[in-house]
Amino acid sequence: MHTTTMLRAAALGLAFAPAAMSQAQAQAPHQPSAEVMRSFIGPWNGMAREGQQRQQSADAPPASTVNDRRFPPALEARLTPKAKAAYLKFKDLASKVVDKEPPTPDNNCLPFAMAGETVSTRWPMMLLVTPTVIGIRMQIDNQVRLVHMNQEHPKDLKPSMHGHSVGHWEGDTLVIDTIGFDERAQFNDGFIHGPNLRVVERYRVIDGGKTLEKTFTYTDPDSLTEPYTFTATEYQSDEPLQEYVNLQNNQLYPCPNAREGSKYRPVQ
Amino acid sequence: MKARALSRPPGRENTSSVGFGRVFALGVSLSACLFGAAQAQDNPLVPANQDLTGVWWASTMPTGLKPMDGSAIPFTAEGRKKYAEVQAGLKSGKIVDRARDICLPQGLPRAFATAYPIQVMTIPSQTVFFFEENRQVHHLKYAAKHNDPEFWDPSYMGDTIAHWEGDTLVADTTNFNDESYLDPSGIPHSDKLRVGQRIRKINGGKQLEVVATIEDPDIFTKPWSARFVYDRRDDVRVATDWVCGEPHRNVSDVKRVP
Repeated sequence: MHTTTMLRAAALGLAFAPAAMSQAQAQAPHQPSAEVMRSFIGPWNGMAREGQQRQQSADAPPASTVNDRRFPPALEARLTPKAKAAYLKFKDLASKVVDKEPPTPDNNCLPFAMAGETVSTRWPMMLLVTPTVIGIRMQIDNQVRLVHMNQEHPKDLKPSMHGHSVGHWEGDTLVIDTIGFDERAQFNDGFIHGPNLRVVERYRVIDGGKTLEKTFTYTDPDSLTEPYTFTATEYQSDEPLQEYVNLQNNQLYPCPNAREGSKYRPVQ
Repeated sequence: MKARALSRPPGRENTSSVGFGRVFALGVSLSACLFGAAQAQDNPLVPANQDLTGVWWASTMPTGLKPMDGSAIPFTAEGRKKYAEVQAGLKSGKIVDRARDICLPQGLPRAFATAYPIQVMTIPSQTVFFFEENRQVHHLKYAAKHNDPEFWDPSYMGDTIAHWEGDTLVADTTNFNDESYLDPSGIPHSDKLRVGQRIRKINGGKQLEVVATIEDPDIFTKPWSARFVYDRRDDVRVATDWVCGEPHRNVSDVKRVP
């Protein structure tokens, strides 16, 4: 009987072995083909070339938020009263500033908020694609965002201007989840957010490799009454990235220095 | 001698002539034979022995730039004079080290001497060093020719071309601007500065070695080399939003060498 039990257990073990193996396979993170991964690299540029129409949904912010400080209606309609008041205050301030730019993080030589400049890349950007980490390299202000692939967000997350990004592949779509934003980060000038802002990005390469399609979804109980989603596109570009240093140019607002850091605080 | 402007800028990725066939073949063979968790760590885009991707962090606190062979820095008379002037200026405050004061890029080889970690990413057309300190980016493009300096402004990090010799990435950087010093003590350079780099994994991949060779006929009588070694740190995530003067990572674990 004892032998029988053992035999049964062994048989059961054998029967389970393939199942266990396929389960392990299922748990292995999916990764698209090398060709697909390669097609994401770029460089990409959000500015459409001659004869091309910049394609994005009506909900998306304008290509340049620098000279056009209106929020897209879809975003404005979703602002909580607190965020709306801050936005109107910022807009009022911006309208009174004649010769200089209003107080934004970038005008104060801070790193741009991750999402803002990933959305409206008037400058070239690249995706430095590897299986373990993807660097989103934006020419503007020499920035890099790191997307940690197939990982969880750390528990003891320290807020940062770009937030903490984790990513995974769903088929041939790159999905990025970002939380942990510094309160000074703004994805549209004048948009304030709470500590629970979450940005989900979905990237696809379409049109036979010529176009990068980006869909952004923002959720934040403090600033948005419901999630705000939009799609924007970037085009395969032959413009290489150049060094872009913001820190030395700004004479409008103080740049941070080694002695006192930044004095910038968002308009609330 | 000026190189003709490249008709295809070296930054363009998907048409890079470097190793597409090899990478494609590797991708096919990998996807054909591999399964399981290990697959996630394999990079089908680049050859395994030519992939420097990872977080690297100096185990010892970098000190002033020194020749690795133990000799003295081979200053020319003019170089020695300029160095003394810069040192005096930094001391009196007449010269401000803007890399330290407002966290401008430090340039090469100074960026390599960092107490903070570095995220390296290798893609098919280049290897990119992202230095946490001062948010510096060093692109090592796999190209045969430098960008034409007639059309490209000098920059802090210069213009780098690189190629692989086996498992060593051999790079050459030129076209630096004159806003940087070679180290925090103020070693100067001219517009003739050229920084060669030989970069490879050592110690079974546990460490990364960068040997930088500094060449500047106005400042040095001969080329000389400095060595930087980093430990692989998979447990560390590099922060990408360095703000000057605000609290940074604790680097007290990085040992100080007397």
